[in-house]
Amino acid sequence: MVSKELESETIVVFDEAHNIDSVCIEALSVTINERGLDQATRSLGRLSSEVSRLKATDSHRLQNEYQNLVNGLIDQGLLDAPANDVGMASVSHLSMAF
Amino acid sequence: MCFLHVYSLPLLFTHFNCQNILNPDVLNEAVPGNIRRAEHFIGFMRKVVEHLKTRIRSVAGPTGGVKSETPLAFLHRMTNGTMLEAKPLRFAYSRLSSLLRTLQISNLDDYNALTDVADFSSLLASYSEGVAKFAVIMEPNSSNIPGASDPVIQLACLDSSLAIAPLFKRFGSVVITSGTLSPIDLYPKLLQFEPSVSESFPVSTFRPCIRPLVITRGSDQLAVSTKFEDRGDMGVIRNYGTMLVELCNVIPDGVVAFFTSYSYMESLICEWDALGILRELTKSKLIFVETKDVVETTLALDNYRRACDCGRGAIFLSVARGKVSEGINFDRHYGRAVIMFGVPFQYTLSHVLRARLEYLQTHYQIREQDFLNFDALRQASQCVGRVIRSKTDYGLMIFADSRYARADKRTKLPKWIQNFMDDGCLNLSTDLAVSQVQTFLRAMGQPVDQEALQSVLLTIEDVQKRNSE
Repeated sequence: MVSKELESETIVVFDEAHNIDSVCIEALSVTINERGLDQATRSLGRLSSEVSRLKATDSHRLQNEYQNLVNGLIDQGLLDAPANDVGMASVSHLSMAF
Repeated sequence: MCFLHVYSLPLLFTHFNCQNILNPDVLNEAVPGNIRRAEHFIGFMRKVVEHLKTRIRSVAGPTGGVKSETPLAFLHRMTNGTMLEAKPLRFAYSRLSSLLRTLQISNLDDYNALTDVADFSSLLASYSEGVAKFAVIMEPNSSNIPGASDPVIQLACLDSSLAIAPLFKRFGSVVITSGTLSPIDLYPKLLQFEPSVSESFPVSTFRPCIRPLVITRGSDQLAVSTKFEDRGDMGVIRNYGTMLVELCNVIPDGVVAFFTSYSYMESLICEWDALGILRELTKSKLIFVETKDVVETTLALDNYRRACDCGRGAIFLSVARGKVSEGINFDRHYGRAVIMFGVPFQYTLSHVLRARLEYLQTHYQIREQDFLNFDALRQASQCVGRVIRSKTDYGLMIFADSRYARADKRTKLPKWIQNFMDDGCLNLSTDLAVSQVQTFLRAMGQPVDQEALQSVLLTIEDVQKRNSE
């Protein structure tokens, strides 16, 4: 994301900002209609097929994503880190189950 | 190290998406176990989509109609209806983004609708507590076609300070600037910040190159306006038409006219055609019109410029809040006058707008009419600002509506425009305006006083001197 690269000492300039309040409102507003919901259903179907396909061919990638999520939680102290062999086995068991 | 970054507004906000705007505590919480796994997450989203389908069908159904709910109420119905919990809903957007990345989906556009659903869910679940800064507004027909069925569920943000708050927190210096930020003290209120500097600069000119005029009536002394009740009034229609013809007769080269909406512009053009006004107009200027189609409008603009260049003269009919009013410049002979027909208010019957106005009144004590005036005048200012782009440029800014004479409208124009207004330019009739136009153009048509021009320009030495101070 762009914002992550900007240091806090950056000077941010909004030029032509007369409609800034409307832009702020629109950035946090969402409209849902029937056509969109039908499209969403189709997208979910595609995603489901993709996940199945990926599991069959490259389960490694899905495992990594799962592992990253878990590691992130461990880093934050929200999950206990695996303790040596027993722990590692259970973690890899979990990722296989992905 | 200090860098100056300049971004376009929408770009910055899409990057600063709801992941950043969500309470940081939410991001630091555990991603709930039940949506960590991809299949579970997909099943989860299916339930969300089905629930939204049920709600949207009931909006369109026989017992449906326009409804407004707080995020909390809508969320309760969703969690009860789907047996899902609120907490995992908060992560819907970030979980989906992660999954799309993992699956290396390249055609992200195909997933816009699903992303919207995830976005909707995350915002809904994150902002359901405390003061309702959002409203969920459901309408059976969001299209302009009466009797059509196009139900929508809108999660409407009511508070513009939410999106920008993380930016203010994160960055040491934020500068908000524009030629039409007026009234300037309203912006800190809307965005909820204390400005450390608030400045308004006049335009440095060597001659009065801007002439604002407020035309409130036709030559028959009948008041003109685009107020809803006046739109069908034949007297107003005829007066506006005559005004346009007479002004175009005395203004050379290019004239740009802005209207308050496409539909109003179209109906005026039809009436004018029937009255023979358009035929009169083509004697002095070729007529070009902005449409909703970008390609058509670009072609029209192109030919408008050619007509101005070759001396035939042209008029461009355009719409406030449209593409042209926000982006296209009509400098020099391409714009010797801008005419703003009417006061460009937002569609005041919109439910989303009404919800926002109520919020502004309740929480920031901003009166509804004050906000509507402010919003309309900033659009009008944007329109007329198209016409002056350099020191030697000059142009007329004509406000054609009886309501512009009122202080509550006029004083909302940017100071740099108000500085060029005097009592003689207010409350004019068409014939008085025409004579003012002729006087102004004669004065501007004189050779440029080079000495005077130099006095408002900085030389390289001047700039260096200021830098060293």
